[in-house]
Amino acid sequence: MSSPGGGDERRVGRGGPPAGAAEPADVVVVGSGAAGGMAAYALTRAGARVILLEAGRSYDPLAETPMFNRAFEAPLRAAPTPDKPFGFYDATVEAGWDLSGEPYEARPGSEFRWFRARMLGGRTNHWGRVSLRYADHDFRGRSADGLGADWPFGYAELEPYYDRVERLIGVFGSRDGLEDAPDSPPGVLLPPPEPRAFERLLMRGGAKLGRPVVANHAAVLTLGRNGRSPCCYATPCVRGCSLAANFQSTTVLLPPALATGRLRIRSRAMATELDLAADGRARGVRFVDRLTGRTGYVPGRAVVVAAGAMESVRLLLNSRGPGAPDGVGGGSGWLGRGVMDSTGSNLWAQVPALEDLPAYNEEGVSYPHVYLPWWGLGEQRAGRLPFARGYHVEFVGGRPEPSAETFDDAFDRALGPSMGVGLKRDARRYFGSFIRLASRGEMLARPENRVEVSPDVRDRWGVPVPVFDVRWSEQELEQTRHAQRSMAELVEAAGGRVVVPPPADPARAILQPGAVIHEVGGARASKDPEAGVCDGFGRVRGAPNVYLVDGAVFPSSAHKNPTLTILAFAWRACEDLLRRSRDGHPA
Amino acid sequence: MATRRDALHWFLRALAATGAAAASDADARLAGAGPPGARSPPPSAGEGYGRDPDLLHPSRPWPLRLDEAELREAAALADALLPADGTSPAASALGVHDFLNEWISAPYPVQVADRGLLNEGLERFRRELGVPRLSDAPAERVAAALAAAAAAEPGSPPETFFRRLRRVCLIGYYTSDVGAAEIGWRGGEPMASFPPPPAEVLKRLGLA
Repeated sequence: MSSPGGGDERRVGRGGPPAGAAEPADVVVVGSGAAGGMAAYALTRAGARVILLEAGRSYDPLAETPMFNRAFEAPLRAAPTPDKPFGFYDATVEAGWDLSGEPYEARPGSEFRWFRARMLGGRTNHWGRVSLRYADHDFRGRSADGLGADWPFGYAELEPYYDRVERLIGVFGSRDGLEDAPDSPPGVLLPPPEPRAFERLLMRGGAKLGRPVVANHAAVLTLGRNGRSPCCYATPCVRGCSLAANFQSTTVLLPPALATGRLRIRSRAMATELDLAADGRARGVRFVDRLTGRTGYVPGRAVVVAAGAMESVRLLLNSRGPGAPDGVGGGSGWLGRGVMDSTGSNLWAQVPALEDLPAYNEEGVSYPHVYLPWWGLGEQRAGRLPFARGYHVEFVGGRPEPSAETFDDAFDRALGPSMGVGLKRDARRYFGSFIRLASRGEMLARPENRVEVSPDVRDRWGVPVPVFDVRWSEQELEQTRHAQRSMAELVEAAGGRVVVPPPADPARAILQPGAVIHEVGGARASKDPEAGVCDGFGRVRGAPNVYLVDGAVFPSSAHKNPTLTILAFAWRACEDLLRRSRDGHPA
Repeated sequence: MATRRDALHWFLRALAATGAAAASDADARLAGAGPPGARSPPPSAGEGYGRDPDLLHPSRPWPLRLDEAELREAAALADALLPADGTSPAASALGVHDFLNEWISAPYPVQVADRGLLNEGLERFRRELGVPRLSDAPAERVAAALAAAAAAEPGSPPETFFRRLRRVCLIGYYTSDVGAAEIGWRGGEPMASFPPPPAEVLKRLGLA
């Protein structure tokens, strides 16, 4: 079954499309998250006919989001469990670090946590919406300090796409004139929401230290746009949004793509390999139906790979042909190399001035309204810091709806042995007075941090699984040491105290690779064909009609959350694909 | 050769033939990205709510483990931790003991571990207080036993029991409607714009 177009799935030899296969789509897009959704949007609106394969089930935030449901209506009061690692109401389907029948491995001595969600729209349904632009120095790190790799283009090339993406999806924020955080043109960003009380204390503390705490940039509407409602400041974005007030591929990219009439979505379709002709071009994509296990095939004139960085690299590694013995784009030796995640560490603080405040609504957009951009560029360039690349700090606090997460280790420590009537008094006193500070930093690209496919371990459909080998280096540990110290300084400047004693060893403070869920790299873009898997438009070397457009292409992973850059890259890449198609290259 | 339109019609019919509402998955609807696809099959009983539970109509699929006598003991403990005070009811009035039952009956590792802790803790307290059931002891003695556990060596079994029990009871109490208002939460109210903190708060914080 499942061949769009007729007949069954008899194949013409292993490497051929099924007999009687339909007229190929212009483009087969693998994945429906940020990159895949953007590809579907850009391609269909330019006239291309697209078939999109999504591994997970179809999902509709407008119908499915539990917007106003309360914690007490959910099992375990919506506490996180292995079935729903970020809480019952999290907008995830079949998501987690361990998916049944879909294992992965890490080389001994290394750890890697790989978070996947299987749903239309992927992780854009539940992501943190932080949308920060890379600056020019983020694209040209190697030119500055000799470490890692430059991107094959700079800020000037991607800037118009950042502008377009921010206009399309709606991002709030402010123009701050900070070197590490390039400003959007006037009128592009939406007005940021009012900082909460704890955020104002952080702003004041940051100002005392000469480290400006400024408006967050987040993909949440504070004004209506494109028929979407602005935020109503009442429900957690992590549940998704029935108002389409935040950015999800499912509410912002796929509907206009579908409206062109040129997009067909085949969900529950997990791509297993690209079907390659002898000359290395892709003819189509093989997939397996995740519900029935039956295999299918979609022919296409071009293929856009957007399955999510590590899944995309896995797909390319598992697609071999006579011209691609090491996988699609494997010729340079860079396929699988240079895997990165953001560094992350936490610090828990408590602010006595925030105790016993009168009750009032502090919910806001549910995500942070402010953040601390990297302020140390000058010191780094002067060689005064023991690490080469920066980090920013995010803050979680205030008084969201009480949940299992409210009564965490920090709250427990503040309570001491409190019980009885005193416990009730203390619970009221301390609620809302905690801040969790979270650093998010750049991990340097190193070729030895890699992903391969296992020669013997396969998923439940027989497809080889990834084997990761990703380790922090002294760079990331020194950066984390600095972050832990600077976050404690900010806490003090804001009038607070650190409440969970931080580990002295940064190796115990830094989160595991993969835990921040910003994994990128593994198929880096490059100018030199010998130095990367694809060019600056994601066009894969050796497979001229295959474009890779998600985080796999990142040659470096700046501390800025990757999604905004993925969206911009994917849009620009698809325009190259379209240009080549129009010029007569059946890209 | 089949036309493109024929091919797509065949595609949709073929998907419909797979059952499981898969036909809807390829259906292109303008309102959203299509209707929700069929959920993954729920897990068998005793395995949790699975990876794709119905978020709009949640249910707890695992059987509850505490019997009536144990529930009364759980209520005695919860009320000792969170008694009635001038403004809010005792924990048992808000069903915290039932929530404790839900929690320790769940099949996930954290909850299974807490089940063990609760069983050990109950046995230890019954012995200490010399009663077959904690609900037989006067409330002040239960409270005294808990206070002693709170003051025990950090990381010791009684102190660990106290902290875990307290945490679960706090969750049960303050996620209730009454509890959430009591602790100072205001929210869940749609608004057109998000205001700055009240003037009195800004003044108190020296931010006015």
